[in-house]
Amino acid sequence: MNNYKEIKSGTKPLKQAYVALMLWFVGRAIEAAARVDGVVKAEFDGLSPGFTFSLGVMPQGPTMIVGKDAQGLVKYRGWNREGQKIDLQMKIKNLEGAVLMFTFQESTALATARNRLIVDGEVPAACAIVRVLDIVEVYLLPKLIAKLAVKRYPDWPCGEKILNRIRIYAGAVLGL
Amino acid sequence: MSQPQSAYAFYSPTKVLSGNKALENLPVELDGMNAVKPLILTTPGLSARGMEKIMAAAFGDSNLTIGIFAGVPPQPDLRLIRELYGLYRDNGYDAIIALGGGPVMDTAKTLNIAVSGRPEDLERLADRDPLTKKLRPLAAIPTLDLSGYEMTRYAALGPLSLNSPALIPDLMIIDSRTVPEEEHKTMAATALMSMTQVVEACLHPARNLLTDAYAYGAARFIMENILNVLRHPSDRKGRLALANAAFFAQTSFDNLAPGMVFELGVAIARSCQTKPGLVMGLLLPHFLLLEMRKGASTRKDLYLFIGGPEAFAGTMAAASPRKALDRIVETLLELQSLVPDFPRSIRDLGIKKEDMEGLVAQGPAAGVRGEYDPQDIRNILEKAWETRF
Repeated sequence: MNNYKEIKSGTKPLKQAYVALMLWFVGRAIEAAARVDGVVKAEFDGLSPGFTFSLGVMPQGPTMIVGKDAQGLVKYRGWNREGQKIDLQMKIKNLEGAVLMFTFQESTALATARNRLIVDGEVPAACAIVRVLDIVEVYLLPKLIAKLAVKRYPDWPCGEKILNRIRIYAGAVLGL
Repeated sequence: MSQPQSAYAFYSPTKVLSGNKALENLPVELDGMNAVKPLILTTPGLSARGMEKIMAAAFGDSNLTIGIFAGVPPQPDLRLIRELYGLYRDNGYDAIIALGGGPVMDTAKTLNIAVSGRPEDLERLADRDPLTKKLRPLAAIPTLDLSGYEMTRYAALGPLSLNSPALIPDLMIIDSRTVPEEEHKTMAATALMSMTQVVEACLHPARNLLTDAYAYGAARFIMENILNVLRHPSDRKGRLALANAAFFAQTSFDNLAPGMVFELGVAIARSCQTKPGLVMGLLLPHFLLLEMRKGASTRKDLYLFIGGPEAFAGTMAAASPRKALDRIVETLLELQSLVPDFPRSIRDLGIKKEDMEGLVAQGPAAGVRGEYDPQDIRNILEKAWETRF
């Protein structure tokens, strides 16, 4: 038949690599933030023992998994879901939506409002994780960019913010 | 006190995704409808404008295989449906995506009946047998070259005239990349057609709060964007607003019987080979004037829809219909100044006085399906023939 063709969808390796890197970095930063920031720690303390969540991109990743261990410590658990009991799955519907989020053109709250995320799990837990992500983004990003990425930019004491930022970066990059 | 009418019905099963990167949601939305291999239908014109690449990119990373048929002609027929039926079945497609306006949507809706059951179902539906089967998923990606029926229960293909709520698309995606710039005349015609659907929905005796809500959204989008889009066709947000307006207007229209101006516009456009929206734009002021003279059904808040809340707030209720009419005429005149070859009267379309009497007399045979007072039709046609805007 004229004017007909069948095509196999391609790939977007650069965008996928960028989002994978960001997820890896944010996952490790959450682990570090849970150690140094009281609010993040309190959010995780409020979640059930062993609570684990994933944030990933549909249909085939990348993904990050973060969860509490037996001692209640928050750990980044990589990207492989196999063998892990996930309590809360937050799935970004497509790679382009993930790029918008991780280039901070859209905050997590805005992306949710724009129907870019699917949440599979308890809503209160999802809200807690969104608040954690907002706090982590405030630590990781310069104010100018973080203001775009979070719902409300917090008014924290400058010294404490800088000190925590250094500790979180050290934790995320160097694993300290 | 605002209260709902004692009884009303409203039906709109379409999930709408509109805005930046909305197109990229297609794979996951199809997955939600248990579809993994869609067949995209579009026109050679849209294909030549790079739509195939945009669609392929939207499916990037999804791991899906998609079929693209970019050969829908302006007047599709049953032979095309038979060919597409074979193509769909032989290649294991399980959903249809219609990218484009009238002919593409008519083809997609008709094909969907055939592939969801047997091709004979088409004749049965045309014979007014109700459609009992759930159809395969159908997604619509409209442009700004529309027939007014895309998001409705109606489809027409050659001799077939189909009408079933099951034909309404399950999903509609409006993304600025798939609402490209069209010719000025096309965009103006689509906006005027949507405005006609809005005004007729507003004045329809069976209107309800939901049809009003959709009509209001459509009217505001049109009035606030059409002139700017024609002056600056690169205005992506404006084009997006007009595509949204078309959906709102069609949904409101679909929940009420088609109006006289819409039906006359379609019938005249068919005989003159022009865009129905242009004809409707020329008829609409006369229809409103007639309604105002009758008085009874002209609502006092029409200007809220047409002029917006601020203008409406500064207007006496009794003057609202007149102000609405003036605003529509002003917009029509501005459109005429912006669009080359915009007809000033239905006379400019080649309509002769004797043709008009034929339209009044033939009624349904000419494509005017509603039950209208022939005197009203005659009155509007005569005024539209005599008046040059």
